[in-house]
Amino acid sequence: MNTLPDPHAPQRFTLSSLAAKWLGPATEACVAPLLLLVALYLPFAYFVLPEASALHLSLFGINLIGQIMCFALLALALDLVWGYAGILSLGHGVFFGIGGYLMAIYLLNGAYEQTHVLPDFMQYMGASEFPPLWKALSRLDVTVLATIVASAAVAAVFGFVTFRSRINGVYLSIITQALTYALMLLLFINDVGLGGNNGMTGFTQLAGHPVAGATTQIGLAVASCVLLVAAYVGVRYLTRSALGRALIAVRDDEARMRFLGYRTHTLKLLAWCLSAVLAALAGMLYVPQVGIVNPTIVSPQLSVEIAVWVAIGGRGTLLGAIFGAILVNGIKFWLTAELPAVWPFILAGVTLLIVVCFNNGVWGTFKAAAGRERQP
Amino acid sequence: MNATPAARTAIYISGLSVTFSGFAAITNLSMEFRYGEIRAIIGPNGAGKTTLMDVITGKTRPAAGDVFLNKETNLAALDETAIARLGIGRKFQKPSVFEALRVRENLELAIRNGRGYADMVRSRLSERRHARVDEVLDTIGLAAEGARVAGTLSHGQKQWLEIGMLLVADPQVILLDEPVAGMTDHETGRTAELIAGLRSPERAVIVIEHDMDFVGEIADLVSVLHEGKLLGEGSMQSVRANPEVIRVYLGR
Amino acid sequence: MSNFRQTIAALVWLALALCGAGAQAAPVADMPRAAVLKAFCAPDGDKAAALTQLVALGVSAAKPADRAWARQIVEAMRNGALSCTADARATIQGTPPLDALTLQPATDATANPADTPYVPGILMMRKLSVASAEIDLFAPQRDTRDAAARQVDKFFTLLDPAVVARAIRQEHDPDIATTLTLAMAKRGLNSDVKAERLAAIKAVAEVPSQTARTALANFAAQDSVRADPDLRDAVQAALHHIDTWLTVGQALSILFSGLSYAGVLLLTALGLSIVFGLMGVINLAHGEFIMIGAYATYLVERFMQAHLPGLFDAYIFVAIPVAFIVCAACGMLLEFCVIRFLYRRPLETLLATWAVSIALIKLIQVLFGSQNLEFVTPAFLNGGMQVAPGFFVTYNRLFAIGLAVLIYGATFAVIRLTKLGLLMRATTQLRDMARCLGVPAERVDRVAFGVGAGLAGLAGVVLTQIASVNPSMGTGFVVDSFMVVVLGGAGSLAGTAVSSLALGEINQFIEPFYGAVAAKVAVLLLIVLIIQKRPQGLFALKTRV
Repeated sequence: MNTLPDPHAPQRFTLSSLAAKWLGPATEACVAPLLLLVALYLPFAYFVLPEASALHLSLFGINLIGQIMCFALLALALDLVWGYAGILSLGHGVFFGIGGYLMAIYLLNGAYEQTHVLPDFMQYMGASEFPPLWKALSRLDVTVLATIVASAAVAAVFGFVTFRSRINGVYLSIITQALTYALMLLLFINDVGLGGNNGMTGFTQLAGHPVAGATTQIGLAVASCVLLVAAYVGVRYLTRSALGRALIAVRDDEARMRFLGYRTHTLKLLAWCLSAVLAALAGMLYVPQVGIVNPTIVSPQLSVEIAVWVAIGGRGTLLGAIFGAILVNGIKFWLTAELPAVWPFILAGVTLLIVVCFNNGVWGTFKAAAGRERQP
Repeated sequence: MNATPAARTAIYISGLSVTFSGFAAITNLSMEFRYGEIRAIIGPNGAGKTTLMDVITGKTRPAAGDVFLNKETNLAALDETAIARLGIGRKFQKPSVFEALRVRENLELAIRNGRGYADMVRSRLSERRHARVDEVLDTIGLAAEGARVAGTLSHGQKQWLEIGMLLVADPQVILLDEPVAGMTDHETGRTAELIAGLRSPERAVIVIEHDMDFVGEIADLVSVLHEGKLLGEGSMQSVRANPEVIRVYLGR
Repeated sequence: MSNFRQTIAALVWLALALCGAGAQAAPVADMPRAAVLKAFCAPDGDKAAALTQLVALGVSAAKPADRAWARQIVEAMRNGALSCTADARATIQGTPPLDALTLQPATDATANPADTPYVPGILMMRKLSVASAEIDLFAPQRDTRDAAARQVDKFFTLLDPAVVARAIRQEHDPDIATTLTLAMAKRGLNSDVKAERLAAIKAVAEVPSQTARTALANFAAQDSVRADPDLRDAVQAALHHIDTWLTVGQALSILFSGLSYAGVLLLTALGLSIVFGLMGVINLAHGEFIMIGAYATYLVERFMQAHLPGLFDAYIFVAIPVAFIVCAACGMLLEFCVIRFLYRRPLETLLATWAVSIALIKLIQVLFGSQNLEFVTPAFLNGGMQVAPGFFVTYNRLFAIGLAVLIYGATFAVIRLTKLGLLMRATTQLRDMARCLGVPAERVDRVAFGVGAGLAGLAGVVLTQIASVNPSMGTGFVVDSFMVVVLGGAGSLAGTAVSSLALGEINQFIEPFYGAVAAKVAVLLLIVLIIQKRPQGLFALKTRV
């Protein structure tokens, strides 16, 4: 289950070999600049283009794009550990949630500073003052640092215990599901002080700017794009390096790597912690764009969905993860507005179709076919 | 060609016993492998040959007995990674190269021996190591295939690549588990040359094989295992003439 | 002829005798009533004593008529509707006014609307309420007796020990008897006589419960008790005795709820273990099969309520085969349409089953709505019994455990003893070898998947009685059942049984003290620890790779 599909296996979808003729290494090189162009386009489409223009984007649309970029980053993070290190995590929501909740605490700090009114859930709990522990996250740079450290720490502890114990494959995936389920249950408890099942909302300002304001929202969306590009470039460099090849080798035959003298659990731990940090940063950017954080962010269902995005796009290709996340979430946002009752059936149908017909998702299959065409 | 009695001991095994859920795979085995010799281990299936290699490389823990490297390092207390880093290399029965990587990349992976993450991030490899990889590519006959994805190699080429991955790290003990299984006669001949070329006073080579001609070509000494015990040990001719060995394994 | 005359004579004498007896009986029966009313209506009479007599009359005879009469008189007194006439007769005011003796509408001769009714004071009101409760202690309906017992307990200082003692002796229901005993004991604690107090302490210790403990603790705090060493020691001993019983009860209660949780886990995980062991498939739609089983039960319930109301209580037994067949059919359909194309691609199977699960949830939501379904518990599953203080065994949980054991036994029998089971085991252990021997692996897969789904459906049937049923109920069980399978070893029935027992008990032991999250985390840690030593689970089906 950890190896990539056999490149020699007969393709069910023969059009892929045709399409492969048009896809080449140039396609991949275009992606980063394309995403940067999108980032530049967003403020342009809002501020410069008139509303009547077809290319104008409303704030709502920009916000949606920003959210999708966060999901794409989340998918990229999963592809790093899954497509390259062979660790199918069905619990990446944990790290997404860590970033989201820490960001929410920072935003509530800002809100309290501005309004001097305690958030609703604190008032219900009978608190009379803002929790002093929360005041530690009153600065954005501190919050970012805390997110990176917290997510890396949680990942390190989990990874150390599981990878050292040589827990792999299906069992590992199930354990990650259980972990995210336990975290969700924990966050449901009101006494934990993180808003219970209603979560935390009521954000007013972000680093001095109003959260709901056009500049802030566009800034967040642009930041999401830029972070995605930076992460993509960085992870791509890593996966093409000798370290990346070592990870691929661990994915394909971990036992063999051990016999070659590699401490495979350390390799996996490195990828795992990096992935966790990326997911947490995605969560940080996601929460101010949706304006609320609640335990559904760490629900087992969302964590499985991340794997679905990556699988639909094609794992082990990085671009596939981005593509899958954008495709699925794009369709989802569009359909939940137009045909809300039908959306789950369409998603189910599309997933089934792609899973049965394609060997490794849409992008992955195309790329493999293109690669085969080029090799004699 | 017999190994001289004064050669140093590489692997020293004494009173080794290995059981799997009650089944005794190896019983009270004592053997010694020396530097500078090529040892062949033969015997029927289930004799414990692969299990012996598993114990030496740390894949299986013995129930009793000692396994020492250079008469000083207890291998039974270490895990696979540590043992590999000590300079014990193993080639498995099934060719286990990394099919998603290129031939050269496979060798580069092997030569690092699991060290130097910082260098790996920057894909840096010293000149010396680059030269060694080139050398080994030449030795195993894949110099022209360096850029090919390993999954596209033929079965025989994959076996050589795997032997190459062993060589490139310059181990002091080499374990080969059925290196010519599934090879054509021509490939078997080339492999025999390759392995014979491994003989060195700094190296101990242990080969498990069933092909008797191949064994006769390369081995200095032959050990016969049967039902987890040592049945006989000696030159190829003496083993071939041993009535017990004939009864149990070789046949008439 | 003479016979005929003799018979007529005998009949006439019989009739006279009956009339006489009836004429006599009426005054005899009415005598105590009249006496009581007279005592009550006496101008400076002791109303409280009269009340006691009234109660004694109401509870002494086995005649329900007397009891009902006394009850009504007491009610009348409480409502301030009883008025006494000058000639010591009483009437109950109202429209029409009733003669208190006969409870018939009063004739003009006896009635006098000008008579002022008796209005009881506060103390008397309390006594009256205790009196009516005491009378009710002998009512045939259990609920009446139960309410009466609580009332007596509330005003334990005013109760009549003789009456209550008799009620205890006669009482069959242990809960009511306990309440009454406790009431008596509390009264005894408050007595001035030390012997009575000691006896009361002992009596309280005999009926251990949380309320008894509180009563004793309050008693122990009194100065009079603290000063007296005998009383102190007796109370300490009694408290100790009660505490022991309470701990035992609590432990048994936890064990039992752990057992019932284990039963549910076993049912949900059994099907999964078979499918996972056979095909290595993470079936994320497993929870939805559970949910379909529950909804199938709902449909059976509705159907039987509408068309076979007489057999309604048996709906749960009808639902068992129905749910099994429906879910097995769904499972086989899923296997045929989707899973068989993804042979040896476990990852793709995971994704495909995930897709099916979200579609199923939405489908059921569209068909039935997303609210919780209401189920009517069959009569024989209602209620439970108190086995020990603090340990109450509910019948629906007992049923769940029983059904789980039965179904496990049946599955075990099928797997071990039938040909189908043999084929399934062969295909699980060495698929390709089995195929070489002519085992139709694809058909075995299909049937096995159907069986697994059917078992999940049975879990759904059981869950309708003890958990809430809604379209997304399955998602909560998927993680838990996978944990059971991971720990027990995929494909191993014994492993599933052992691990569901272990996980069920651990969960129920930790949850009351540390919360659901801690329980989940503890289970996780346990699994991580065990998998280190035995990577294939406790009862691994495959031995050496």
